[in-house]
Amino acid sequence: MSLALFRERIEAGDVDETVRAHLRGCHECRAHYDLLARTARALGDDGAARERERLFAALPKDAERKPPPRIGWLAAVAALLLAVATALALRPRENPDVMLRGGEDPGAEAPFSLRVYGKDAPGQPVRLIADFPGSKEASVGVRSELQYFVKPGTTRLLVESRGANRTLPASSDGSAVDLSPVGKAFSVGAFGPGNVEVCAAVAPPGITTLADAVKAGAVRHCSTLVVTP
Amino acid sequence: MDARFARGGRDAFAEVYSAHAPDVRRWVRRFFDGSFEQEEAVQEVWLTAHRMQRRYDPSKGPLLPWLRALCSNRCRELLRAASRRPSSDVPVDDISDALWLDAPGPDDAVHSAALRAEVARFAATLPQDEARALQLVFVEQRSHAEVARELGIDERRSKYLKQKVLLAASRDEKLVALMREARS
Repeated sequence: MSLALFRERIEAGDVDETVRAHLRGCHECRAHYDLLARTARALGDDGAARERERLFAALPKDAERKPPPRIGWLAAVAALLLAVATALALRPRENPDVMLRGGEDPGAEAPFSLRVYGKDAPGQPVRLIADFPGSKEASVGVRSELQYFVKPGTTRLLVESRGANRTLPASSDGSAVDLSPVGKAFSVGAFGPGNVEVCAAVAPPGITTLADAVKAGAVRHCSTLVVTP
Repeated sequence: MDARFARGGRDAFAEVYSAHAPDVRRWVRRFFDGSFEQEEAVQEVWLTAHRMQRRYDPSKGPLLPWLRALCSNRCRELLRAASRRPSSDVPVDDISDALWLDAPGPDDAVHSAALRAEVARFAATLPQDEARALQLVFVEQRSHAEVARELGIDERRSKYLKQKVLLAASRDEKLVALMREARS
C-alpha cells in the first residue's frame, strides 16, 4: 500500500533524500534496499557514480565564502531602524475582544508537513508533488494517483480532501518516526477536474474527524490541489 | 596533492575524493553491514573531510592516515549516535585501526571468483536483451542513454531492463545465498 510507493521508488533506483529519510526510519524498506544494493554490487555496480553525485550535490556551493561587504556603522544603524519601523507599521492589529477557539489560521505555522506523493498516471514513476501547507497549492492531472504522508511520522494527522462532488477523509496513526502514511493511495479521477481543498489538523487525543478536531481547538491548515483535465 | 588539499578549495577536494573514495568505502564497510548505512556513513565521512580540509597540516604527515583516522572516528561517532556498539572485531584503540581497516574484509569476498562464476551462471539464464543490459548497465557502468543507443531501445526500456535484472538477481536463491555467505 503506502510502503509499496517507497518500494517502487527503491526498485526503480529513484532514491532521493526523501526516500533516504524514510529508509532511516523504516527497517523493512531498508532491508529491501540493502538486498538490492548488495545485488547490484555483486552484478558489478558499486554505486560509485551515485555516491559522487550525491556528495557533490551536498557540498556547499562556494567553499571559500567571500566576506560580507563592509558598510559603515551609521548605515547599519539606519537600516536597522528602518526595518524596525517597517515591522511595527506592518504588524497585524489584534482584536482583544475576539478569541478564536480552533478553526483556520492561515498565519499559523503548521507543526507538520503533509507530503503529497503520486504518479502522473498508472505505471509512471512516483514523485513528490507537494509539501502542504507550505506550498499552498499544487496541480495534478486527473489520471494521477496520490498518497499522503505526514512528517514527522509521529504526528496523528486528520486530513480531509474536499472536491465538488466528493469528500475523502484520511488519517495517520503516528506510528512511524520520519514519515507516516495518511490514509490509503487514491485516484484523483474520483474528484474530477477542478479544485480540491485539502485541509489537515493534528488530531487531539480520542478524536477521529477533522470537524471534531477543530471544535476541540485544533488549527486547520488548508491548501488547494488543482486537478487538471 | 596533499598540500593542495590543505589549501582548501573544491577542486582539490574533488581530486582527493577521486583518489581515495574506494579506500573510504572499504574502511566504512568494516563498521557497517547494511548498504544503506554504509552509504550514509561514506557521505558523512566525506562531508566531515570537506569541513576539516583546511585543518589538515601536510607537515605533520601524509593525507591517507589523516583520512583514515577521520573515517574511523566518524564511524564510531555514528555508531554511538545510534546507541550501538561496534561489532566485537572492531579494535578498541586507534593504533590497531590501520591494520584492521586495511585488512581484507568480509565484503571483499563479494567480488570473489565464486561470485563472479555465479553471476555468469545467472546471466546465462536471462533472455538475450536482459543479459546484454546486465553487461552494459552493471558491468560496463554505461548510462541509460548509451545502453539505449547500443541496444536500439529507448531510455525507459533500458531503465526497465535494469530494474528487471536487479529484481531477478535479488530473487535468485543461489546468488543471494552466496552473497549472504560472503558477508557472514
